[in-house]
Order: sequence, then structure tokens, then C-alpha cells
Amino acid sequence: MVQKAIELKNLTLSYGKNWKLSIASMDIAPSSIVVLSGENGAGKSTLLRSIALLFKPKTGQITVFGKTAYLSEKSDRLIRKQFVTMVHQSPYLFRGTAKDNIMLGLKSSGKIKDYSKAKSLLRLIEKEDIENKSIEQLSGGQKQKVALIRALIMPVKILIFDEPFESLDADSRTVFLKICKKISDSGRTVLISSHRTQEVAKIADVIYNLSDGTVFPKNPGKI
Amino acid sequence: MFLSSFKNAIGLILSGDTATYQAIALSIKVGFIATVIAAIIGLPIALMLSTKRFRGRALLVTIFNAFMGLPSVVVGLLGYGLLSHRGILGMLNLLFTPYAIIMGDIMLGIPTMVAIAESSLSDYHDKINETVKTLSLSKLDGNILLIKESIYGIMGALSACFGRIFEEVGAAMMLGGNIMGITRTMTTAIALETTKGEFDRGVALGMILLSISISVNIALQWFKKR
Repeated sequence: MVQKAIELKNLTLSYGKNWKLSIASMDIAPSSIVVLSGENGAGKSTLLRSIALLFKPKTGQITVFGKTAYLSEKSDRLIRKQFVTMVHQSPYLFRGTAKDNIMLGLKSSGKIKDYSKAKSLLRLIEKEDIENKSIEQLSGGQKQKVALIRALIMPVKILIFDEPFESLDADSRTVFLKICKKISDSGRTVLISSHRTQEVAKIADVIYNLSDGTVFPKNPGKI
Repeated sequence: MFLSSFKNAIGLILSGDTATYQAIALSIKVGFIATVIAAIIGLPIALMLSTKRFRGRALLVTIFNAFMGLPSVVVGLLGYGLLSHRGILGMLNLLFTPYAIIMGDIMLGIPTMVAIAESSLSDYHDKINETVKTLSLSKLDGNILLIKESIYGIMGALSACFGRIFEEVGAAMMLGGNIMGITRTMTTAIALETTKGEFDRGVALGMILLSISISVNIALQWFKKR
């Protein structure tokens, strides 16, 4: 039996008393591209943060490649290091240059010398030479690209992107989708939340729609 | 009256008056040493308070904030109790030495350092914590990034700590004893000269005190803009 990349069981995510998202069961296969769609406030970001081991569910269980999440801070750190990373909707970039920030993606694996891969990805997605520009000099779209590349070069099996397209132009979105397809083909799992469902549906294996406090699968072919 | 005192003060500064320059040198020395030690002790406490969540954390933060306004004479009194012959540190014979002033100034500086640095570190910790986790960085790397991001806030804390130490008079007077050439600082000298009626010398020292304080802040602002 093929091991699932992510398994959610009887999951309840909540903020205070007024907002709740319940998922009875949801499995994500390795090497798949999964898209989450839904209205603002439906819980896409919260669900992704929960899968990235950043937001503890109120009830239920999350397993990542068979490892149970949220048992302890130490075990969560190990699961994140081995399996999962996430780029937030408004990613945080640290003081310094674009290169300094991208290098942080290689720091946990200690493969700092593998910067050439990041450099070629940067050239693919950004025409301008921004490598040595300081973060304050970058546009919103360029900052987004730096954050995406910082995550793409991490040696993890699951990549989570929360609304990655909002600051990107049409060409960059196309390139980014091609990169996602390529990394999925190489065996990594990609989760994307986006309002641009039609655009992302082209590469999606599964689409989940979040509404009314729960999750419904959709057929990508029918978007 | 003030204008003539001001002119006389400039004359005193330019004449290279030994007593004046001894007080300046001691103030700078004590101020820098006490600030560095307060920072070495205070920064790790601020870092711990901003990154760890434990019972009593909020109370500790409140205490450090409240102690920022601790009267220097109270610190002087406490230090005197510790360092006098009957005190638990009496055998060290530090009372009325520059070391006693440094000790009192460290006690004054730590709450300022902790409270201001903690506020800045906590703000940035909230902003970067999830990103640090998604990058799977070690605790050490996360803390280094946190300090780098909060560097202006930490510099502000250092500046406030130096200001608090440099301009205090109560602890320096009680623990140093205002001995000329040995423990007389600028602030204790100003207090003494004014009570003696030597207003010009007091103004001269006040001008220098103010100039050094402003210079330190200008240097920090310059560093910020770089």
C-alpha cells in the first residue's frame, strides 16, 4: 500500500467560538498537486497552516508520511524539517539581500553550497537581476518570488503555498505553475490555495472547495 | 546670570581643568562598563521573555517595566546595605570605589535594557516565528535572526540604558561617596558644585553631560541610517 503524504481525520480547526472548520477525512497522495479554493475566511490559510504544523487543531489527527503531528514541539520540528514547508500569503523576508533570504532555505539542510539551483530558479522566474538587491528595493512581486524560491529549494517532500499568485504577473504565474508541475513529477507533493481556480486547475490533481465550515472535493476537469 | 555662567563654563572646559576632566573620564568609563554589563545580563533575559511562554512571564515583564522608573537613591540604598561593612558583600571593600558605582548602575540599567529590548524582540518574534519554523531553522539560528531583525529596538534599549546610567546621581553619590579624583562623576560633581555656589562649574559639567548624551544618540541614529 502506498503511504499517504497527508492524512486528516476528524479534524476541527477553530478560532474562538464563532469560526470552525470540520473535516471528517481527507487524504493527500504523494506527488500530487492539491488546490484549495473557497471564499475569503473559509479557512484555506488556517487549514494549510495546520498541515504545516503551525496551527494546532482543536480536535482530530494529522499525519504526515505516517508521522503523527502535534505530539510535541520537538517531534513537530523534526517532521517539518524532513517533510513540510510553507510560504504564507504575505511572506516574511529578513533584512539583507534576496540572496541572503534564499540561502535560509538551504540552512536547515546544511547544503549552503547548493545555491546554483536557487540561482537558476530565480533566473527562470525573474528577468531582472535581483540577487544582490536588498529586500527594501524589491517590488511586492519580486519579494513573493524570493519567498517562493526560498521554499522550493528546501529538501522537503511537501510544499505548501498560500495564495502564491496575488503579487505575480501572468508570465510569472505561468512559470511558477510549470515549476510546481515539475516538482510534483519529481515526487514532491504540492498544496496551493488560490482564488484563481481556473488557472491552477490546469495542473491540479485534486481540488477541494472550502465552504460552510467543511471541505468538498471537486473534479479539476469541471472547473 | 545664566549667560555669564555659560561663558565661564566654556572657559573652564577650554582651560583643561583637571577636576572637571577627571569627573568626565570617570563618568564615561563607569557609564560604558555598566551599560555593557547590563546589556550582557539584560539581553538574554529579554530574549528569554520574548521567545518563551511560561507561567509568571507577564508578571516578570510588568516588574521589569515598573523597575525602569526605580529611583536611583533606592538602588543606592540597597547597594549601600549590601556593600557596607555589615552587609553580605562588605568583605569585598567595594564601598566608595568606582566598582560600587558600576554595581549600582548595572542594577539601574538592567530593567531598562530588559523592558525596552523585550518589547522590540516580542514584536519581531510574533512576526517571524512561523517563517522561522517553516524554514526549519535551529533555535540558535532563529534567535540570531530575531536579534538581527530587532537590532534597532535593541540599540534603542542600549541608548536608553546608557542614558539612565550616565545621568543618574543617587546611586553614584551613595555608593561612590563623591570623592574627588576617585569616585566623583559628572552628576555628583554638578550636585556638589551647585550646592557650593560654583554655578559655572556645574553648568560646564552639565553642558558636557548633555553633549555626550546627544553624541551617543546621534551615533546610534547614524548607525540606524546606514
